[in-house]
Amino acid sequence: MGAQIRVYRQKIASTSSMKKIFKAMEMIATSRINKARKSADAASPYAVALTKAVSAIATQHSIQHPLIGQKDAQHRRSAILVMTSDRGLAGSYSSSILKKTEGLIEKLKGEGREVQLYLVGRKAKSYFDFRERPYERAWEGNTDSPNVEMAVEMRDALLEAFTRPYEEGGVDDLHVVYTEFVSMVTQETTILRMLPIAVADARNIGEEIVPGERLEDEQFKQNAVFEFEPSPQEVLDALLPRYIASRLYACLLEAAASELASRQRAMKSAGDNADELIKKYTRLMNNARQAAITQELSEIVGGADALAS
Amino acid sequence: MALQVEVVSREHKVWEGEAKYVRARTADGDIGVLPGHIPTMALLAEDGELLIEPVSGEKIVTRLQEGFLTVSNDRVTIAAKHAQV
Repeated sequence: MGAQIRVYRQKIASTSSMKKIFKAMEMIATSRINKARKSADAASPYAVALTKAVSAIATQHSIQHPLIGQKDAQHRRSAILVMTSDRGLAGSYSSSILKKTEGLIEKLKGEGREVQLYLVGRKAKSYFDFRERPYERAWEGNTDSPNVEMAVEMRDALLEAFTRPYEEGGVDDLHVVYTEFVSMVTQETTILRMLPIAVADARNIGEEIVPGERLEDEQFKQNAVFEFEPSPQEVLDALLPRYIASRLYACLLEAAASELASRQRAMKSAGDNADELIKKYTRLMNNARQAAITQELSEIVGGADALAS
Repeated sequence: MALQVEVVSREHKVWEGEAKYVRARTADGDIGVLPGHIPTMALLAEDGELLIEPVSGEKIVTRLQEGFLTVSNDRVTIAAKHAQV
């Protein structure tokens, strides 16, 4: 009987030390979400400036650029950029992204296209490594605090693949699978077709980058005619790659905020479960102690009776 | 009327305020912006100088990498890879 009490006591001790870890991880995640969201806000003026420029050119000139595609263009090979996390303990964050990715791969293959994978985060890499499935390139590290250099590196790799001809292994379009940060409680896995940029989208892209913030369109219409230095084409050539990098950076930041929010939620429920377990074990331990006392009492009473008779 | 100037880098807003005059280096040469400038979008030099004359206070001189300048309605936005004020 005494042994049982000891076992429960050990379980309570280990559960409460785990609870402390969960609590700490929850608080770390909470403080980092704010940081990630602040970086997203801080980066948006740059994104807005680029977006305005791109949409101004797109509306004023009939433009031709390899990154801007026609709707009927042939798509034989697609690239998918998958944004997962480096570390686990974030609930279903990475697994729902991977599930969404599998769905997209299935769909693209159904349309007769080949698929090339670009992975972000250790979770995605180990998922495809374990299944021995090929991928083009993987980036690891810093998924919870992305920086611009990461986005630029991804852009360079992806644009390189995009501009390479199909025969040499190039891709015809690029999809990004990431988690959109809607609010602290809602994050949605989203598929975004980033390349080729659709001309029709050019006017609306601003809203995608900076949700909720409308580009002052009125002001824009009034000054519909811009002078371009040195020329519209050259401005566009220089800006589109920067624009892609800034969008990738925005996606990375959203994904980071979502990852941290998922982790915070997962750790909160883990902490709550630990609380419940501690309660349950305490009850069981009390039960066991009571049973031991009852047994000892009845043994004493029984012994006394035996001596008296 | 003064210019509303905004200098932003890829990570954050660097400077914001009213100015009398802005001068930046494009690939072809310097471009100067005074209030009432026609709407313009200009690519700046790979590594060029930016000068801002604020309505009040000292002149600001800084260097920009991969900058881009937009002028419309007396609003000047300079977006650069790196910028420091």
